[in-house]
This record gives sequence, C-alpha cells and structure tokens, in this order.
Amino acid sequence: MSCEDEVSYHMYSFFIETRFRVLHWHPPGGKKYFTGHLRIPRFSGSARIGRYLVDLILANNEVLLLIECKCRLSESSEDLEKLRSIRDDVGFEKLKTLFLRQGASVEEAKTLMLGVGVKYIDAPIPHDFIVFETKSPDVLVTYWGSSICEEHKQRISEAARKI
Amino acid sequence: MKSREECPRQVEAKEFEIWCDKEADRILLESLKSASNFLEDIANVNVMPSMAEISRNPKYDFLRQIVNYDRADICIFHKRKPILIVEITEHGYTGDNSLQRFARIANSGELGIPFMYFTPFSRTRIDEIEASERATSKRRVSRHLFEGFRRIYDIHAVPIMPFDWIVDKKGLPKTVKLTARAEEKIAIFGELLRSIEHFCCCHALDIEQRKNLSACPQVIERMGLVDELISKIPVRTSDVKASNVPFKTVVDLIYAPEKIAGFVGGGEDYFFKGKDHKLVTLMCLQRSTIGKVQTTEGTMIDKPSKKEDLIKLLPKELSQRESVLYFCGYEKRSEPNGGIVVNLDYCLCRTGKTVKDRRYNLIVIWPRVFFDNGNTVLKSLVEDLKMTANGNATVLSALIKTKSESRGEELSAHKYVKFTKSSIGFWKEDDTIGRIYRSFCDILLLNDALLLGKHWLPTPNRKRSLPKWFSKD
Repeated sequence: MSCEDEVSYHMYSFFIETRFRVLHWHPPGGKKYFTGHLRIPRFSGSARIGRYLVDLILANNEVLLLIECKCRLSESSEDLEKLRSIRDDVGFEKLKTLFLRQGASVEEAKTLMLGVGVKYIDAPIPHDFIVFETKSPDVLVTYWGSSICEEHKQRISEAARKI
Repeated sequence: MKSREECPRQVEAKEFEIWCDKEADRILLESLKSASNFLEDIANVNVMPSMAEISRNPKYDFLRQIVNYDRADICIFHKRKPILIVEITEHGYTGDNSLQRFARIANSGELGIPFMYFTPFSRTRIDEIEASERATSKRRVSRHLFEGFRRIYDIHAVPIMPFDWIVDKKGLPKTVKLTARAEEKIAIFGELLRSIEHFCCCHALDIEQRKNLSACPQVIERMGLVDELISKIPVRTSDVKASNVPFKTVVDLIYAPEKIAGFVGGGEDYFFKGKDHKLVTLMCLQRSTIGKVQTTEGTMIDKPSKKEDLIKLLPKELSQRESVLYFCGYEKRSEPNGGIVVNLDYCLCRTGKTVKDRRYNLIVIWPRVFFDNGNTVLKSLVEDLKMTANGNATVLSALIKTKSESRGEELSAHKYVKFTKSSIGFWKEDDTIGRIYRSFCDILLLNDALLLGKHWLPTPNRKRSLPKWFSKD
C-alpha cells in the first residue's frame, strides 16, 4: 500500500467510526466504492472550466469538513491551495447547495473547515487548516492551525470522537 | 431452466488468488468477505504492480496478457491461470462513454476468460444533478455496450455478463460503508458475489481447458439479460462514426484531409457545437497534409502522387471492402476512444476471431496527433495555440469568434482554449491508445501520415514468450 493510499484509508476508516458522516471518500486511483461522490464545479467567470476533486468530505450538524490526504505535509501545498480556492471562490453556501442537490445531508452544517491528513508532519501547520496525523486506522493526532478558534476546535474534537 | 446447483463444484475457494487494479479494489474485496464465504476463504488478495513492472519483471508474466490493453478491477486466478475478470464501475451513462472499458472486455474474450461487468444499467448524471434543483431523469447505458457483449460471446464463446448496480432515489449507485453489516453489502453485491463463487468453484477447470460454458444456467440467464437489454435500449446516432463508406471516399479524404471536417457529424457545424476543444481539432484538420504512408513492410515512404498508386501500395483487402470510420477529436486521451474503436470492431466489422476476419475496414481519423514530431505544421499549430491563449489574433481565435457569434455570447480565447501539453501531440508506439488503435484498426490517419494496423505489418522479432496457460487455439 502506498503511503498516500495508507493515509487515505486510515482517515476514512477512522472517521466512519465517529460522529461525522462521511459523505465522500475518493481514494488515490479514483475508485469510489464506499460513499457517494460529491463533485464541485470550477468556474472562471461564468464559464465552467472543470471540477475540484476532494479526497474526503465529512459533515455533522455543526461543521462541513473538506480534507485532502498526502503522505507528507510538505507535499500538500497544491492541495491546500485547492481547498482554499473552494472555500474562497465557491463559498460555503454554494457548496451546501451543490451537495444537497447531489443527495448529501448538509442542511444543518453551520461552518466550513479545511483539513489535511498526512503520515508525516514535516512542515509548519498552515494557520487555517486542521492537520490530522495518521498513526493507524484507529489513531489520529490532531494539530490545529493558529487561526482556528476554540469553539471550532471543540466542535470538531467532539465530532471526531469514536462512537 | 436448471438450478445453479446442477453445475458441480470443481475447485475450493482457498485455491484461488486475486489480483486487483488498485488498493481501493482490494479494500472492497476485503470488506465483502463478511458477505461471502467464498471470498473469506481466499487468503491471497493482492494489488497488481505498475504496467512497467509487469512488463519488465518475469515473475509477473502470468499477469501480462490480462493487462494487454488496460487493467480490469479484479482478476481471479487458479494456480496462476486466469479464471474470471470482474469490472465494477459506477459510470453507467449513455453514449460512447459507456464503451470506455471495452478494450479490456474484448481482451478477456480473446483470452477465453469470462468477464463480469457490474454497473448501473441506468442512472442519473452528476453534472445534471449539479446544474439544477429539478429532478433529473436516469440515463441508460449505451446499447452498443451490450451488443458488444453479445458479439464477443458469439465469436469467442466466452460469456461477458452484466450485473446491475442498484441505484438510490436520486438515481445514484447505492454504496455501503466499509463497516456495514453483511446484509447491507449483500443487498448491493449479493448477486455478483454468488456468481463469482459459481464461476470460480464450478467452472475453474472448464475455463482452464477452454470448455464451452453455454450450457451453464448462469451463462444462459446472463446472456438472456444481454439480449433483453439490447432489445430495450433505443439506438442513438453518433456524430463521430460513419459506416458503409466506400474505399474510394477514404482515399479521397487521404488526399484532401481538410474535407474530413465536412464529413464528420454531417458538416462543420459539429465543431462549433459543445466542447470548445473541438475548434483545436478543426484547426488541425484545416492544416492537415498526409505526406507519409506506411507500407506492409513497415517502412514509411512519401505518399504517391496518384491515388491509384496508393491503392496498389495498401493491402488489397482494404480496397475490396467498405469502411467504418471513427473520428477521434482528442489528442492522447484513451477513454473512451480506445473502447469505442474496439466496440466498433466487434459490433460492425468483425466476422471471426481475429482482426483480419472482417466485413468492413476499421479506420480511425486522428488529426490532433502527428507522426513526425519535427513537422513544421505541428510547430506552427502549437505556436498558434500559445498565441491564442495569450490573446493574440490567430486562426484559432478567428474560429472562436465565429463560435461566439453563433452562440450570441462572448467566448474569451484565453478562457476557452488553454495551451496544454495534451492539445496537440505526436505518435508514440507504446501509448495505451496507440497500442489499441494499432491492434484493432486497419488504417490510422494521423495529421501527417497513414499508419497500418499491426496485423498488416511484419511480426516484430522482439516477441517475448507467452505464459504457459496462454495458447491461441
């Protein structure tokens, strides 16, 4: 199993045992057998120019969480930018509308958060991200970006607790 | 009809091993063990190495023929001999996209290995759901897919069996969590799992010995389903396929490739509808000159100035038959183009087990690919593309302007036609799509050259030994 495969699998395996609903899991290689497949169109002005593909999308009654998976945090800069583009260009309300149309239950989510799952933390934690360090399918260590408020930390910690 | 139990068991589950395309396929099979005693008894579930590793490492010789064109999701082996191939795909969809996996299906038929295709027979399209609040209707998989299954069965006597992936209220394929209960998994995959067990345990030795399975009740049932699907699904016409084309017309197009633009989709309007990259294809066609021709000795020579001399140069069978044309407007994209061509071969051209057994020639027109990577037209087209992307007035920007006017909206060249490495390319013998075209087509018309299918060329000397289980009977 490649390192990225392993991170992706561990992240999914961990979160399906928590209070989060796993709405979408797109493992490396693109086979999506275990969840729905949520797609996010990408626009330039009014012209559609493609789609954003996200690795893992979670939700509960408080939070909608978009996550990318990589072996090392230092390799994830493009993924961080992609998630920031979704947050800033598409926006939370539009995302909710898109996901609702695709059958995902995200009506009650109140805020959008971004995360990255990695096996090795070898770069500074990005200020606006949650970084999940995968140890096994059962163990994740969470690192918070400096601009994530206490309230959000608490909400995510509660949701990420194993059932 | 006989019951399933009437096929006696030949082999026990523990004797099998499974090789998957990707890690996700292996995870799926491991998770389905809770829903299948057969899978649970198989200890050896692996992920195939890369194509490069398979071709260079002799320890993977037993996998080599299975991945001849591309890779199926799940391959089941008994004593290193392939017994069954399974493809699991959520992509149903209408039109030619349904055919994108057809090369691996045909490969399986040619090798004598039964194939199971698990897909939603009809489902909603995500892009339509994305675009509107309104309910969207389900679309059926192309009838040509199932016609191809039937043709492979008729020609090779190898069953290609469809299984319906059930969909939810939105028309999307139903999925289960990795940790779902066995009953939930059985509700979706149960029929497929029972059939996998049946073919492996009751027919492994038959398959190894190339016995005809047509008396097996499961084959009768599945091929009956194929015929039912063919009869139910309406035929759709295609803008990029033409049949019954006289060879004289083909020769005329070889000498005036710019006229192909008027031949595709009923005229040049085709290029001004839908996807914007079609304008790149039109630009390539307008400047195409087929200057080189491959002979049956494999050498490239200048195209004869007279059409009669070209006809004499080509295999004589070609001029004695009408042709089926497929127009590939993409560069190197293999999906769905490779599968479409193989499907055309089986559904329209093929009469027997080999590509030489044909009633029609199969010809692919591929104007965005050049044989000669130093071709001056190629260089100028790439330059034109770069300049267009930078907002300069070019041939391409003029085409975009025409399209803008016909649509009544301003299309920005910069926005619509990005310069990418995949816009215009040159021929590489080892590309997946190139290998598929060479293996199934009689003629391949690139922007600047005519290539012959490999069945018209001398057999290369660098033949590697085939695995022991493989014999062309």
